[in-house]
Amino acid sequence: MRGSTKAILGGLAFCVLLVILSRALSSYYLVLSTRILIFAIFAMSLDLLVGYTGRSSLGHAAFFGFSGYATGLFALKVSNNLILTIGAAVLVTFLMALIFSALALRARGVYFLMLTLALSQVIWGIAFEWRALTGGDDGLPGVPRPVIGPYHLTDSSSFFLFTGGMFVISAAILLLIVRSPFGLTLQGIRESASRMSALGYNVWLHEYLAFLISAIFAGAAGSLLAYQNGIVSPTQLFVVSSAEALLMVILGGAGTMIGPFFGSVVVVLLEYLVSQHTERWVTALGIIYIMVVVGAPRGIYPPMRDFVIRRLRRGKGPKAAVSVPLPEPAPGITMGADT
Amino acid sequence: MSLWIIQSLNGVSYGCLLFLLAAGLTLTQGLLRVVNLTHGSYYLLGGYFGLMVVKSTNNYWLAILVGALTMGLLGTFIQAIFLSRYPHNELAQVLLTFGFLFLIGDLALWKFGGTPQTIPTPEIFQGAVSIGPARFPTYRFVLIAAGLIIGLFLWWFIDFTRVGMLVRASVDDAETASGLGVNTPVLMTSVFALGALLAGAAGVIGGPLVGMYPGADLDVLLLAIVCVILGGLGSLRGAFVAAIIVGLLDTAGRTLFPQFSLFAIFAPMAIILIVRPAGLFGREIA
Amino acid sequence: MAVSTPALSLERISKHFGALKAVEQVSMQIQQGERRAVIGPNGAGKTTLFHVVSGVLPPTAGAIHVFGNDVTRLPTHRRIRLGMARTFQITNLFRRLTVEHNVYLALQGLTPTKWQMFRPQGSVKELVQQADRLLEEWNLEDRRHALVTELSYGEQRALEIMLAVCQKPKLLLLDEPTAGLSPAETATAAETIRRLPRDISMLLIEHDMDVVFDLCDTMTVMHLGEVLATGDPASVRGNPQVQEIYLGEAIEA
Repeated sequence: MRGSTKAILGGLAFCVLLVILSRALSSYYLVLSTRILIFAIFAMSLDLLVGYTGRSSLGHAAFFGFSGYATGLFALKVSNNLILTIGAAVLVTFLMALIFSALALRARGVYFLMLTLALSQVIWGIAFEWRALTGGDDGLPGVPRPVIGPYHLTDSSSFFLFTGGMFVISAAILLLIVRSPFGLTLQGIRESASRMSALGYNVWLHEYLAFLISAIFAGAAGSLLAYQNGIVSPTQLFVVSSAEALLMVILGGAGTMIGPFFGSVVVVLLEYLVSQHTERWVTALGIIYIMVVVGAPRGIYPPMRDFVIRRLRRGKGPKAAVSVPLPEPAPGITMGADT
Repeated sequence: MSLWIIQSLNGVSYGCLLFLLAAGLTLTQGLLRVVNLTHGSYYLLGGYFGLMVVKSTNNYWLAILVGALTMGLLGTFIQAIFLSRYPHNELAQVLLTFGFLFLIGDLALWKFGGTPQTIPTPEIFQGAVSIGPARFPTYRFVLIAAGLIIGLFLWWFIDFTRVGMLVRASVDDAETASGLGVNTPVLMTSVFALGALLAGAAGVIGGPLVGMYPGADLDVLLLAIVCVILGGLGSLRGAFVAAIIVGLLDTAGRTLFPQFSLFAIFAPMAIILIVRPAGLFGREIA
Repeated sequence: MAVSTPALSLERISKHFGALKAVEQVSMQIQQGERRAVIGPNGAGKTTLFHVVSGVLPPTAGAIHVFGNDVTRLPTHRRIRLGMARTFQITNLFRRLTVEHNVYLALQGLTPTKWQMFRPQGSVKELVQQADRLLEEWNLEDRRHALVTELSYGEQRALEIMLAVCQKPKLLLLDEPTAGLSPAETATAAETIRRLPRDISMLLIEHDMDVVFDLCDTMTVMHLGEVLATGDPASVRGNPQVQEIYLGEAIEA
């Protein structure tokens, strides 16, 4: 079976699963599942930058939160039409990303990490202080449930389906991108930017594009979260959000695009579970971080995938040439710094 | 007029406090190129420990000693047991130091509570000094003194001692340095300990002024990062100048437009990045 | 472009690192089709010179022309587009990618394919065919799905040269292509280089004198950042200054 056929079938099966879940789950779990999907989009967008391009950013929440605020403001003041709102929010996030990325890419390595963190906290700081516009640390409440024409997505089931649809589209586009020549180019840059230059690639331009694309999807996710929560708070812009996304990427498996989805599942579920028993979720988060580095640097998805592939190969006999699509090296965090 | 004098001195003294933090970060992230997001945590925890010491013994100097030493030990522990296993692997370092940041920060919140706390100003430094028509809290001079003393010490240490030279050599070329017999792991751990120690001391010294509160670790880390970016990666001189500038900007920001005081600090940083990405005194971009 | 335009022209190129004069007032011209070796003791500035020529480092002074075009201020990728290619002294491959992907990256570097986002890599038929041919030619067909990290050092060095040659360059800079290779591997590498199309101009840093005399028409000797002598192998060998700096130095055979 060709790779693309498998992918389409897989996607369809996933859609069917989503529909089933939308009927079967209670409202509480639908909200949780929606959150998982939203953060999966956020994490996948970050993987494009971190896992594929090799640029570890600590400021991805800038796009996530900026879009959230744009969504809230647009929905409250202009129009609550979902397509318009998300479109507008992603657009302004993209415009912000044009500047953010240009500034951030002036640095490499450790400097890049510090810079993305600082830039993103600037935006957080502005949201935090500009009470008149953003409500300060009280946030922007009262974001109405979205409307598409005559459809009101007021209940958790329909919003879940909508988010599911957004997730499938985002995942499809991102997976296409990373399996394309452009995606291979990004991986080449990750492995050796100097080699890429020596082969005629304009490395900066490719990195810039990767940044912008990842900002678009992070913005889409941020917009969905604003609707999901009904309120936009500075937390969406805060470094902890960037850190959670980074954890999802690493825990799931950096450089696999599918891994971060599982990362989101694990982290969101853990957060909910832990928060029910203790207030010390942040402590747990810290410990998980340390444990992932020490124990599972490649993430949880690659071993799962390898296991399945080996089962498939064995099942088909010695001549089984399973057509593995562009194999992902899944560097996880074993990637060395290209300083 | 006296307002300007007071505010300038306030800015400079705050800047001197920031320098203690920026210096530590310069040493680890700037010189050693190790990502160290836990830096702010040493400030916070050192401050809390110092507070405990003051509460039980009323000895300010002991508090500084305890704050500095305990944080030096903690920094050594984190570097030796964890960070040193992942040389040149920034992503691992980010996650590790983030992990410790969250861990320490949340445990501190649990143990010390969410109310902002300050260390009482030691008796000998209480009161104010008159400069012309203005009255200036004595303690602010302590900060300035601390900044200058530490600055001079570090300058002497890095530029004039053999150990300092070894640090610089290790930074430039770790392989050759270790081939020449420099015990790079020990050296790195020592520099790390020094950075953490400075941050811990800053936590206590800054205790009467800034104090400790949940989120201070991140606030402080951020300010230190701004100083390092502004001053130039790896330049102590740059860190000093940048810290003073940031201190002045912060004070001016709070006075002139309290709504956007954060912006007052970050805007110049953004400008520097556009105009001179290596920072005021930096030599390279990465 | 006239036949007489040099492939590469360096006019008084200097590269200083503070007080260290790594390269000092180096001038040279490589004619089209010429094969020039750059030799000299370690620290002579050879690799630094390559970095300046390829654009990795900006020169402190001087000018560089590639096929008549002034490239002194151009970034590396723009120079590559003029027909330059290089290999690296320390193997610089895409380590966690397969041999096949390394080749794809080399092949699409100068084509618009690299911007394609919405078709799978394997669907670009022409690219796949080119890659198939190259892998056959260079005897790496059976290693095509291996990661670079799984290749032997000799295979990696071969791949290093292959990537540079993929794009059909007109000016090739080879930085110690036989470094670390066994005598047998060295012979293979030398043979590979010799069989490259004769119209490719070449600049070769080498320590192995046999390879140099075998492959190159002319030699330039560098010492402490400066050009000491230039000429055909015989005259360079006979140059007393050259003999002096090599006296007592173990020349690796």
